[in-house]
Amino acid sequence: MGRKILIVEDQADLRKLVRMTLEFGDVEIHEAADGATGLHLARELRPDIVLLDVMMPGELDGYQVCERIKSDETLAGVRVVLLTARGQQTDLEQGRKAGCDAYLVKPFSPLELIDKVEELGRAAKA
Amino acid sequence: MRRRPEASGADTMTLPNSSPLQQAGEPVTRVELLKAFQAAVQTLQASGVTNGFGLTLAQEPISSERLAAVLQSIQDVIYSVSPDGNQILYVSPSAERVYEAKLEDLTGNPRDWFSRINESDRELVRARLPELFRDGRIDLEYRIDLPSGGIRWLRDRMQIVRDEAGRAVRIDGIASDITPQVHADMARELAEGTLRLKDRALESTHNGVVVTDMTNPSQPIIYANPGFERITGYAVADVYGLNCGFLQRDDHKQTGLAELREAIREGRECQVILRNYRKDGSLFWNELSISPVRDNDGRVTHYVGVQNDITERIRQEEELQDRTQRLDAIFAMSPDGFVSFGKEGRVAYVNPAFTRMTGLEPSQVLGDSEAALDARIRDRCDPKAPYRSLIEAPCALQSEESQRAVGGDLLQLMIPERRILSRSVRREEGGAKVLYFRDITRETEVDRMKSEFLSTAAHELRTPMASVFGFSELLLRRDYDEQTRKDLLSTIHRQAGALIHLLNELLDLARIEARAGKDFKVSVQPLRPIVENTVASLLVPNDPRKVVIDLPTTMPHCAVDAEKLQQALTNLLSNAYKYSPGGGEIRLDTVVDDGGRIGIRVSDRGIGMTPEQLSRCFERFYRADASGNIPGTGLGLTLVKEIVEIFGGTIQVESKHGEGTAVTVWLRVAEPEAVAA
Repeated sequence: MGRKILIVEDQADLRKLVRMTLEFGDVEIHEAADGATGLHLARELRPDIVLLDVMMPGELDGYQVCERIKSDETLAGVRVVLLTARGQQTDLEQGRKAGCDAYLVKPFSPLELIDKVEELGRAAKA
Repeated sequence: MRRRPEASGADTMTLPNSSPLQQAGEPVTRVELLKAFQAAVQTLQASGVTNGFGLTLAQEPISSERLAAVLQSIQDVIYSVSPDGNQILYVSPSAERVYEAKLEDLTGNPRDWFSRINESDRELVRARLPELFRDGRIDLEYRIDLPSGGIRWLRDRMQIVRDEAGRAVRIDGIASDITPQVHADMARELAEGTLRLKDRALESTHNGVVVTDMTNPSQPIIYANPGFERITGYAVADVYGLNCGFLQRDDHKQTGLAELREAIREGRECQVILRNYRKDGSLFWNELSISPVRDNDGRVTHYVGVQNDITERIRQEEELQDRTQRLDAIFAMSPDGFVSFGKEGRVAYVNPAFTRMTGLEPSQVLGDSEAALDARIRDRCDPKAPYRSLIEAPCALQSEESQRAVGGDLLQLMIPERRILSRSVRREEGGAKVLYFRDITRETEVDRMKSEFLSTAAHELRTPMASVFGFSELLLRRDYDEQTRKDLLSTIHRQAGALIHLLNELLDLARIEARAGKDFKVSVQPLRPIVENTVASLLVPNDPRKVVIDLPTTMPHCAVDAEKLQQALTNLLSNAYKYSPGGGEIRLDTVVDDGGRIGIRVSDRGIGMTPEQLSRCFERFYRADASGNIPGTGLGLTLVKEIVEIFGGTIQVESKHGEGTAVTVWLRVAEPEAVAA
């Protein structure tokens, strides 16, 4: 069975970057441009991994979406990677509190992104 | 105290009968007694004592019974001694009472008699005795010791009795008990001495003392001491007969004077403080105490006034008061809050700034203990924030910075409003303590905004950087067909362009803020060319709309930097295009107000803003566009605002969600005369 990845990111170029980086082999990629849509898609699709931008316009920011995914029992096992543009200690801490599995600080290398996703995929199978 | 013996008024007397009295111890015959009595009476008469008994010398011989009775009743001791002083010939019975001894003991050895003289007087008596033989008589005063332990003062007058041939036959003497007189004299002298002392005291005191005669309607001064002269400068002699009122000169409206008059009317004592004037006209503060002197009927006859010159004290008090007032003024004006505790550890003072900060009125907290005040402040703080009690609070030696660095003594007030106060404590020796509060809400807010700005700026830079970094890496690592490569490269190029734009705007903003317009080339110039140039050079790719310009025929001059105003208007116009993606007219026109200002207005029929978005539109990096589809930095409007404010103008934004936005730049018109178009 293929892997399902959801990208929640307000910048169209970044969604495109993530898609181009990860879209090979048996991978299914979905996109959302704001937190609310992202949460909705996560519940509908039950992706293996959610790549979640922290700072998004709209009512829900990345931390809130992450918290809701992690506290939703029907979404148990969904891994969340936070994409943050502020690699400060307090931001990372807030991410951990929200329950994220990993984070990437912008700008990130596509290779780094692939590694993170692979790592989380292996952990999920184990 | 010895009295000088007075000169005796008695003349040398001659006894009619010179036969010696019989020896003591043997019965005395009547005739001898009579003779002795006569001699004694003569002696008495000579010394004036006789009158005291009301006796007159009888022409006829007195009967021996009467003589004995008289001798019994005489208080003085009458005696006779042999001329060589070795034999006592006679002693009257009164000696028993005076010497408190038996007659037979007294008539023994005359040396015993000598030994009865008080030791302190013995030498003097011994030294003066030769006077008796030189002058024929002597008048002595001395003390004798009594067997009961007391002392009696005697006046002892002796006289040598001679026969017709001039030979000494006897020494007769009278010793009188003068103890009561001596005591009375001593008492009088003591009293006189005391009066003299009192007089001296009055003369030497620093206080002025005045006595006024109250029986005289003008209440004149009848006495003034040298102290009065020293204090007032008036010679004592010059003020006799005057009423004390001259000391006030024309300064009659004094509460002390009314009080004084009332006390005098009621005849009681009082103390007042008066403004008095010295002879040289200078003011002195007179602390005057008066008290009445009454006669036996209780009528006030005099008043004694004691003056105390308290000018120096008043001056010091005034100085202290002045200093206190100055300090109070400083504390009252201080933007920082102060609370001071007295030595007993109670709140003694709070300044207005403290009340402003905490809402705690002086009436609420004065008298509070440290713990009580601490509790009140704690009640007003955010319960979620850590609170350090006053006792643990660091002392003022630590700087504010270091306190903040250690997360120190910051109070997060919730009541009466959100404030952040820094608190420090200064403990004085002796337990007094001062609390110092500083409102650092603004500094903290500025700090917070600065760090938010930096982190937001970093975020805004990282986002396009992520595309540039990510896509270029993909291009390096993977093989893509020509079309994809071109697409990725154009994305990289576009995002790099966005980075440059963002950097430029950040730098513009920083430059404007840092230099506060110092590099602006502001001059008075016509507005029309600037507006027309802006519209002409506006480049809006892929949008067919043209800006509709509606300018009046005459446009005023304003003091502006043409290039910067053009930058501001360009930002406004490009916003109008960006936020009206669905089309609609983009318009530039002008408005005027009553205050001599002109407004350049840019309006669109675009997506508009909600009230919430409107309220935040000047925030840096704030984007009203939630979709992320409209490019921009969120700095455009901030820049416009900064530029316009440097020209002394304002910016006004009106917007309705879904209907469009109008932004007006208001500028002060530099000259009243307009320039023809």
